[in-house]
Amino acid sequence: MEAIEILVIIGCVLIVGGVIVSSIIKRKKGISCDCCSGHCENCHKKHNENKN
Amino acid sequence: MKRFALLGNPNSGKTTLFNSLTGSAEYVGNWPGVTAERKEGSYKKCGEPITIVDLPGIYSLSPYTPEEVVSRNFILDEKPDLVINIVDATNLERNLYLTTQIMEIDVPMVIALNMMDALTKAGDKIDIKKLEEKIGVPVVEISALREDGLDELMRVAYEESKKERKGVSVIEHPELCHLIGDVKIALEAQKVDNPLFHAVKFVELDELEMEMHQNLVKMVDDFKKTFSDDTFGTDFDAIIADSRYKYITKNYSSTLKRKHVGVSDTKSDKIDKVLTHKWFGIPIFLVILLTMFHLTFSENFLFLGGILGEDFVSLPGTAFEGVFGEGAIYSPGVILLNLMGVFTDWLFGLIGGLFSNSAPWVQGLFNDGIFAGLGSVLSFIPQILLLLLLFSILEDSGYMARVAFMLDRMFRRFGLSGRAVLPMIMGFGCSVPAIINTRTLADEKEKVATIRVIPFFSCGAKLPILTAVSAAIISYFNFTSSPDLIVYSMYVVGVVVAIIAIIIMRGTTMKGETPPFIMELPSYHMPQFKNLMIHLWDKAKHFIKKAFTIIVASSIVVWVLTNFTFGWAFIEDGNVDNSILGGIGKLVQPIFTPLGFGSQLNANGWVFIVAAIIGLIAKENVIAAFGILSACIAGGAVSSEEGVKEVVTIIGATGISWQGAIAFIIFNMTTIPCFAAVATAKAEIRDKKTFSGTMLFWLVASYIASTVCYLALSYWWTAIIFVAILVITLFVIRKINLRSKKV
Repeated sequence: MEAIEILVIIGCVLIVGGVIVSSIIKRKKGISCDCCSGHCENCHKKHNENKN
Repeated sequence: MKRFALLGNPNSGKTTLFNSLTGSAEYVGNWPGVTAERKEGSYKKCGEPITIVDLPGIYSLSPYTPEEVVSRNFILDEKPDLVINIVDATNLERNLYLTTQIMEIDVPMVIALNMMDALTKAGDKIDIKKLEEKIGVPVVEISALREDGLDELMRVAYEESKKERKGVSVIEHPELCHLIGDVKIALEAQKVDNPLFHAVKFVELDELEMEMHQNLVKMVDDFKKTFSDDTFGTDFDAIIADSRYKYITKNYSSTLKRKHVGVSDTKSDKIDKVLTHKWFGIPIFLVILLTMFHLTFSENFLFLGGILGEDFVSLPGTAFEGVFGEGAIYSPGVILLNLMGVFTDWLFGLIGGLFSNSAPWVQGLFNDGIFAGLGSVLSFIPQILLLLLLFSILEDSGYMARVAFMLDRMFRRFGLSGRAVLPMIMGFGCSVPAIINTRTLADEKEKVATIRVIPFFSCGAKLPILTAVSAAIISYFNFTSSPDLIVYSMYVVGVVVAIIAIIIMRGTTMKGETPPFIMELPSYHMPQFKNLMIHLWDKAKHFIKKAFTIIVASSIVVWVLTNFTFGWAFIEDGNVDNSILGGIGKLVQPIFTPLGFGSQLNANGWVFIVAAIIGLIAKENVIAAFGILSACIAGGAVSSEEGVKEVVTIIGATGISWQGAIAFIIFNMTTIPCFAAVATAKAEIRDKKTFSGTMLFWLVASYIASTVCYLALSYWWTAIIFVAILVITLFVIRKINLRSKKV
């Protein structure tokens, strides 16, 4: 296997893994979407408190 | 860090001010109730950074609506360092009602007199100094839209936040003042914060206050026995409201000098006489929508095709051949789409060249995987943005608020109020903020019903599916119609499915009273270029970010699953039927036979199911998947005409009928929305059972809607049966409900 092929495989794994991990982190933090870019973590925490 | 809260009536310009102060790009709409939750941002031009909190617009500090609860709780419990009370100068008396309530709270306060430019334009004047003297807090003239006076407002606010302010009451009713004073002393003894505010609310018989201070209820009850007002009897709430308005009229009205005394039609009233006409209002709205779709999707702009001749091709022999028209001039939206296509083809061709000596699978991964998927999605961005721009213009001008008002009468018959129409209209942009906006609906069942139908109002991410499949149907089946008419029809179908779903839900599982809809119609104004650009830039950023993260990752996964067998062998002959994805797709394919894209298709027919499933991650993925799958099926990247040729290749390879292709569009429009929208819906629908029911509802609704569409388009007589079933169902629901009401 050539170096470029190994690089491509590593790149693909990083991209797919990165997207999955970041979406899991976002979900855990309670940030459910990209659309609401104005929401910081603090706002979401407060928002959940308000709801409760 | 200091915290300033923005508080004012709905549609008084709080979010516009918030965006101007913090450089944020929060959703601004020219209708009341756009902000459903608080938002925070930072202002850095004062001596120290200041957190600005944008609160939902409210008319009073009574906790009757979810917006009032959020705003009231923030001011009372989180104690901001200062409140910037935004007052609409064109509606001074009514806006000051809230001001008189904030004045009772022990918090520094500054009044931002907004929309002064509109007031001056109308020839009216406010004596600011006199107003300041009467209220006892600083008043600063601003225009949030034009960003006039903002630095002065923040300078005054910053200075004022260093001072302390004790609450004062404007109520002048002598006997009630005594009672308020007594309750206040009792509350002070209990060390309650903001005792004056709570005392007034207590005397108003505010439910929350009564619950919190039950030991004082007897004091008010005893007083009630000895008291009676000539007009209002013992209705303390009404007496206090009357007292506030009397104070406003007596003191503040004298500061306002109107050019025209008496009632005369404003410019907005005159426009409304036409646009919200009882009979012509809705048809005018439909014509406006059709014009928007024509501008965005038509391949025969202004119907000039007949004049130019069928053999007309723009810029023949150049790289832009056919970009501006073929047989007709294309609409601006289609031209943007084509130009973006030329750009992505050039760019990906250039990058693809770097891998020309690499292994076949590396070339395939880039050309048929990442570039095919990414290119299909990226080329649609300018067209999506054009449609969203046109929607934003309608919103910003104030027209969309009228649409909600007009649709209220229609939707009320189906069990939803016009308040629920606003989030639905927002759904045309993106389902996520639209679902969040349902928080303003006080009735839980009305809220759930609205959340369930929001995805039927096709969002921007679904546009590529609509455009590419519609254009491919026209192209492959040689239809003489234009794609804009198919796209327009699909939007109408989405709304019709939503209406049917609402009637059934509100008649069965989501029964409930339809709350009254009272909305203050905002004045029409010219949309602000800056606001429109902020909104568009925000959307563009969102699409590009999604394209280079989720779409690229999905493209890689789809390409791998399409080009490797279960035995992990690379497929080099383009026979993707044996791929992992092919195996999975074929397994579930029979379920979709009634929808027209199941077992009746040729080999590779499973691609439609796979595309729809991948679309659950993000709807743009559907077209990205078509790009990859068509490239794999054709044994090399199909030189893209912006996603359309890819779909044409797929239609040719699978043998799907045009009826099946239309059913596929409807399935994608009405099925479970993207992950982000599902997560938001889960957060808003707190009950787990109701949320599971919502997911099931989306699946069943899309399955039924697509089946009905496919069968009715394939065999016209089935349409009669479906209409009969629908009418009987609605009739039975109505009968049962009427009977249960009588009982």
